[in-house]
Amino acid sequence: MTEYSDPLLASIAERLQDSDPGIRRVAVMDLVDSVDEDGVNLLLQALSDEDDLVRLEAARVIDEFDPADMMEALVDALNAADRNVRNAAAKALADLKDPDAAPALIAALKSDDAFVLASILRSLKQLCIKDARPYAIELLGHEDPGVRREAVGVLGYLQEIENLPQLKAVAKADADAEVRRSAVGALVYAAPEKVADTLISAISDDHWQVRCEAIRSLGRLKVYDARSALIDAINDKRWQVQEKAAEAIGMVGAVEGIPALGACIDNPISNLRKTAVAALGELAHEDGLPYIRRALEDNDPDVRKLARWALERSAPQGTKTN
Amino acid sequence: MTQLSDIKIKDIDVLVIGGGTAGPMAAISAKEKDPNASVMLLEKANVKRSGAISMGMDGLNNAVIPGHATPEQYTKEITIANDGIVLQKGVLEYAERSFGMIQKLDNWGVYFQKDETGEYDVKKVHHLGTYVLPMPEGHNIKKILYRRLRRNRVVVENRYQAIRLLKDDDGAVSGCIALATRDAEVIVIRAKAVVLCTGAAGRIGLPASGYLYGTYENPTNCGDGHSMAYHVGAELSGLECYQINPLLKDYNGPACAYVTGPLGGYTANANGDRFIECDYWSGQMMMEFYNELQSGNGPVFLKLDHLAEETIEEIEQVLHTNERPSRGRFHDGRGNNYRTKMVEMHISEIGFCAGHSASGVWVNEKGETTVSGLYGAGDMASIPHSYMLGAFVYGEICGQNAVEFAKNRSLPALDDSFILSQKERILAPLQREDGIPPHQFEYKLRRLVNDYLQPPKITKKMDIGLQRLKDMERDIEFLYARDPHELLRANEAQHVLDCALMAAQASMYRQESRWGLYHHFVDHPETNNEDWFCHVQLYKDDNDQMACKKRPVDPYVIELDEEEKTAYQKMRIQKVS
Ligand SMILES: Cc1cc2nc3c(=O)[nH]c(=O)nc-3n(C[C@H](O)[C@H](O)[C@H](O)COP(=O)(O)OP(=O)(O)OC[C@H]3O[C@@H](n4cnc5c(N)ncnc54)[C@H](O)[C@@H]3O)c2cc1C
Repeated sequence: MTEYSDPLLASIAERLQDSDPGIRRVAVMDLVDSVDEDGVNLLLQALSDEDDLVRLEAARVIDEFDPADMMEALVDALNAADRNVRNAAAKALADLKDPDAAPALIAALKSDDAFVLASILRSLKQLCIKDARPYAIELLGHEDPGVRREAVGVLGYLQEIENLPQLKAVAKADADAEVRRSAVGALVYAAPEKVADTLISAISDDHWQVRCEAIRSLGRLKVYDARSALIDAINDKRWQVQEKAAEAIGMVGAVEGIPALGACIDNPISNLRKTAVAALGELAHEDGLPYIRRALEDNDPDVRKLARWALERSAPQGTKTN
Repeated sequence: MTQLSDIKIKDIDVLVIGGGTAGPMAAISAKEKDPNASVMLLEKANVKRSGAISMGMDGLNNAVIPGHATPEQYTKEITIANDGIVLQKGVLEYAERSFGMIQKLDNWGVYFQKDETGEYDVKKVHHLGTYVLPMPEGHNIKKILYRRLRRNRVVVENRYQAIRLLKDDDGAVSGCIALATRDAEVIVIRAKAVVLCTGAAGRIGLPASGYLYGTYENPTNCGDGHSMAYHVGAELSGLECYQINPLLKDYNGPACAYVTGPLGGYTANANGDRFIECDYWSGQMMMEFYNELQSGNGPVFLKLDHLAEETIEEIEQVLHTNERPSRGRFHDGRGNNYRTKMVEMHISEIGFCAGHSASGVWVNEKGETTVSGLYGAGDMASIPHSYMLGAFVYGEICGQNAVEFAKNRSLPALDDSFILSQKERILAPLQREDGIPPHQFEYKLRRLVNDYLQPPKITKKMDIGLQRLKDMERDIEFLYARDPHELLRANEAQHVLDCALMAAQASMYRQESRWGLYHHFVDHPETNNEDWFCHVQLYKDDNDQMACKKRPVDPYVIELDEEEKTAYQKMRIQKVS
C-alpha cells in the first residue's frame, strides 16, 4: 500500500481496504476534501471497486479531480462495464482541454455507447483538432441525435470551408430540430454567398428555433439578398421569430423593410416593439420617422429610449430635435 | 494567564483570507508566480463550497471581450454608472485583464457560452456596450478552482475565522489572529503579506423576511474583512454608497435580469409593464425600483410568462440546477410557475459591496490598501461594479503583488501583548456564565439598521440610529456564547456592529444626495458636485475614533466627451409626459 503524507489521504487509503463497502463508500466521499493531488490514485482505485455503490460514488466525484492527472485511466474507464463509471469518465474527458489527449480521445471513438461518443466529440470540439474531421463527418450519420449534434459542433469549431457541404445538408435535412439548428448556427463561419441559399430556406423550417437561428445567422452575415425573406418572416406566427427578423432587417440594411417594421410598433409584445424601433434606428432612414415618433409615446420605457435614439439618427440634418 | 507560548503560530509567506471567489484565485496566482513561496488560504467555512459562487454562476455580468466592447468603453460606462466618482485606473486595469482572465478560466475547464463556431456568445443587455456572457454550465467553477489549488499545493485551512490583523513596528501587516470555529482554538498566522478576500458585508441590514441569514449575500460574508481592515488602520471608501439589489421576494437569490434578459424576460410592475428607465445596474435603477414598489403600480415582478416553453425550460435549467438548486423547490412550494405567473420581486437589505456597487476597503489598481503588505480583492475592496470576473482579476493582481512583496521581507516580529489581549477578548463570551446570546444582539443591531440607516436617509433618524448603535457597544461585554459555534457568531456580531457604525458615519458625512437610492439623503436632496465630487474615506484616527475625510478623484485616464454624457442622460431620465 502506498504511504500518504496527508493524514486525510492516509486515513482514506486505510478505509478503502475495509471489507465493509459502506465504509469504503464514505471514504470515497471524503476524498473531495483533500487538497493533496495524490488523492487521484485513491479515486482510480475506487473506480474499479467490486461494489456497485462504491464505484457509483467514485464516478460522482471524478470531476473534482484534474482530468489531466488521470487521462489514461479515464480513457480506459470509457469501456467500463458500469454505465455510471463510463458516463462520468466521458463527462470528465469532455472537460479536458488538453491537446495531448486528442489521440486517446480519437481512438475511443470506436465506442458504441452514444453518451460516450457525444462526450468525446464535445471534448474534441473544444480542442479544434483537424484529425477529428473524418470521424465527425462519419458521425453526422449516427442514429443518435445527441451524437450528430456534437459532430456538427466539431465541424463548426473547425471552421473549414471543405466541411460546408456536409453542414448544409444537415441544416436542410436532419430529422432532429436541435441538430438542424446547430448546423444553421455553424454556417456563420462561411462567406455569405456560400451559405445564403441554405440559410434562406431554413427561414421556412418547421421548428421556430431553427427559424430564429437562420435569421440570426443571416443578420450576422449581413446577407443583403435575404431582404424579402426577412421581411416575410416578420409575419411569422411566433413573436420570437418576428423579433429576430426585425433585428436582421436592421443589420442587413433593408430599407424596404421599414413598413413591416412600422407595423410592429403596435404589436402587443413589447419585446417586438423594442427590437423594431431599434432596427428603425439602425436603418436611420427618414421613412422610419412616423413610426419612430409613435414609439416615443409607448408605455414601455425601453421602447421610448430606443425611439429617442432612433429619432436622433433618422432625423434629416438640421431638423434634429431634442 | 495565557502566554504566547501557549498559542499555536504558523508561519507563511502569503496569507489569503477568504476562500470564495477572489481568494482561491489570489492563492493560485501567488503560487504560479513563485512556486517556492508558501501560500495559505484561510476560510471560515469550507473552500469547496463557500462564498457567493458556491453553487456556480450563470453568467459574467461585465466581460470585456474584443469585438464586443473595449476597455475604454467599459471604463466610461462604469464612470457614468458611479456618477463620476471612481478610480478609473482601477477600473481600466480590470477591463484590460478581463479577457485574459476569461481565456484562463476557459483553459482551466470553465464553460462559457459559445456560438456554434466556438466564438464567445456575448449578449447585449446594457444599452451602450455588450458585456454579458452567459455560463449555462457554470456549476463546476468551484470544483475547478479547487483542482488548481491542489495542483499548486496551496495550504488550505478550513473553518477558521480571521478576526484581527497584526502589524509590525513599521506599520506593515504581519499576519492575523484566527479562531477555529469547531473547537474555539485561537491561533496566530504570521505572514509577510496578507490578501483580504472576505467578500461583501452582507449582514448589516435585516432582510424583509426577518431571518438573520436570509440575506442577499452569502451569509458568512458579514463584514469581517471590513472590520479587520478598519482596526489595522486601513482606509475604507464609499461606504455611504450602499449596496441594495433587486431580488426574488423571500428567496435569497438574485433577480437574474442578466440571465433572463437575453432570452426576453424582464422586470415589470403589477400591470406586466416595464418601468425601469435607467440602463446600468446602479443606484438610479434601484431608486426606480423602490419608487415602483412604493407606488400604486407595485409590487414588482420578474416577467417570463410570455416566453416559449423551450425558453422557459432553458431558464429553469440554468437557474434551478446551476445557480441555486433550491430555487425550483421554492417556486414549487409557492405554486409558482414561470409559464403562468409572474414572480414577485423585492428589494434587498443594505450592505457594502464593490461587486454590485462601490463600497469597500480602499485599494488602488495594484490591489494595495493604504496599509503596507495588505491587499484586497473582490466584493470587499473598492473597485466598483466588479462582479465575479472582477473578483478573479483582482484576486490575480493581489496574489501576484503580494508574493512579490513577501519576497523582499523577512519574517516579521509579533506583538505579544496585543496577541494575548486579543485572545482574551475573542474568547470572553465563552468564559461567561450568562448574558446576551449573539443572535439576539445581532437581531437588535440589524433591526436598528433597518429602522434608522436605510434610505431614505434622514439626519434625525441617522442621529438616533448612531446613538443607539453606540449604546450597543456597551452590550459587547455581556455577549455570551455556549459553544464554539456561538463564539463565532459573537465575534461576527461585533464586526457587524462595526460595519453599521461605519455605514452611519459615512452617510452622515456626505452632505448631498448621489447614486440614486444608495445615498438618497432627504435633508440634502441635491447632488452637489462643487463640494462633494470626491471619495469619502473612513478610517480610525489617532484617538482610535471613527473619522471621515475627502479624497479627491484622481484625474481621469479616459475622458468622457460631452456628447457621451448627454447621450446617456437622454437614455436614462426622461419620462413620457
Ligand atoms: C446572489 C448573487 C448573485 C450574483 N450573480 C452574479 C452574476 O450572475 N454574475 C456575476 O458576474 N456576478 C454575480 N454576483 C457577484 C459575484 O458573485 C461576486 O462579486 C463575487 O463572487 C465575489 O467574490 P469574493 O471572493 O469577493 O466573495 P465570496 O466569493 O463571497 O468569498 C468570500 C469568502 O470569504 C469567507 N470569509 C468571510 N469572512 C471570513 C473570515 N473572517 N475568515 C475567513 N474567511 C472568511 C467567506 O466564508 C467566503 O467564502 C452575484 C452575487 C450574489 C450574492
